[in-house]
Amino acid sequence: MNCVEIENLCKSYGDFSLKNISFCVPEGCVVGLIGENGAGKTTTIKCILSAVKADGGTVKVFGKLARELGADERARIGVVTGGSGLPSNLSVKQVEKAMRGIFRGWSGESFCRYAEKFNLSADKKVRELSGGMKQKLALAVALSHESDLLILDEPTTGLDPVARDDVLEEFYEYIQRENRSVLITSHITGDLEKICDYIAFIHNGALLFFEEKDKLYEKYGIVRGDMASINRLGKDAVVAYTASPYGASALALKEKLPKGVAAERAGIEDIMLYVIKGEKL
Amino acid sequence: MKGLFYKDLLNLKTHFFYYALEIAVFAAVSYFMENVYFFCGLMIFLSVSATISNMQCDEVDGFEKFAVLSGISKKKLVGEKYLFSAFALLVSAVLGAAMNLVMRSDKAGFFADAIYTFSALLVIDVLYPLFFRYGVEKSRSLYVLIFAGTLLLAAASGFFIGGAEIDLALLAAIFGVFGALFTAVSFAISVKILKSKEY
Repeated sequence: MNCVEIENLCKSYGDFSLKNISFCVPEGCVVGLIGENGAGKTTTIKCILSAVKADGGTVKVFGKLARELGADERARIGVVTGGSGLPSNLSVKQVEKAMRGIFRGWSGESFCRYAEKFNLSADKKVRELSGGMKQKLALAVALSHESDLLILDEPTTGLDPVARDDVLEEFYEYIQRENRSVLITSHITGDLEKICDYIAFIHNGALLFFEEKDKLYEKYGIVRGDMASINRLGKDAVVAYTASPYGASALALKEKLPKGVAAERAGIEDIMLYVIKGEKL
Repeated sequence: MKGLFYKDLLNLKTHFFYYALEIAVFAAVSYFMENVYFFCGLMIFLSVSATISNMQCDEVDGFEKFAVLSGISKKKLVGEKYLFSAFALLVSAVLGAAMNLVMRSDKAGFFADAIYTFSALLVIDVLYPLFFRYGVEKSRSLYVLIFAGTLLLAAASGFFIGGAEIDLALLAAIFGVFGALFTAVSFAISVKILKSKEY
């Protein structure tokens, strides 16, 4: 069962267009949506949340068309997007009280636990919090209304490494409960490597791949050498390469490499960089 | 809706002192001038200004986007705003009525209070669709015009009320019916605007 199913999603804004995006968020899994700025990640998320109208394709959440979700189903989605949007004149304690009256299934107990964990002082006003602390508050809100799906757009932006680790731990804990899923975008690919089961890579509005993270590690490798050695690997094996006066390296498909050629492990960031900035043979 | 209303009330908490000060000053001036219409008329200013400040707070915070992305129904979001304004209008109407009692006005004072309240409702009915469509900042010049127009209308009606040639009860009832009808239309327009909006 998939929590989110996207098929042939299209959306155009002036000179930008999202082209036939298809991927899913399986139940109980964390899917990382990666891509450079302006690739279409946030637009995809907004289509899932019905904040923008898709020009084509379908988006289903919990098996139902996203735009037809009722209040009960929407309450099962926890959301964090850029800019907290929380009322700046309210204190953390007052935010809790307001959210209690807004979200069905709100758990004040969970909120207090997260507030304590994230060092959010109850009497501090939202406007007095730093960017990172506001982000933590938004996370505490998203995690406190007993959702089954978390949709997070750059949730760890502005957080220091320790806070980021705390937050990732919370996400990890969140998905331990049955049937909970997470769709997350982040430019900090190290964070995604820690928690994601699947990676969807969007580039220039098109989906380049949607794969299990471990399969990506099995599939891709980095080969280093000089330009002549990269050329010898062949077009079928080399996805993209970069060259400098000091040498060359290539992102290669491991199964297509000639025998005896060793490949280093390619991380998500490597894959992104080679695909976006590398050249084709 | 309870949570949204609570949030809106708290958003304006910092303004409460100024509102209290304005009410006290207007009440004193009105009392010494022996003109209850002055106080009732200025209560329009208070309820409309609370509505504008409330929308402005949401705009600065980006709350509308947060609410929509978080799955709060757009109808509920709009409905709460109208409810909040109705509450502000009720407070100003009650204050007007209290001032009428203090100044021992005749029926005309109470009817004037009702007429002013309903005309403020009409202003709010025009403002909300503008705010939802263009935002508070972009609508500023438009609402200054609307507000000035309404104040002129209120002043003109004060002149007629002073003449007491017209049936004030009927006028209040007409304003009330129009207010209710306009509110229903304005609400429907605001919901439509929000539903077609992209974030």
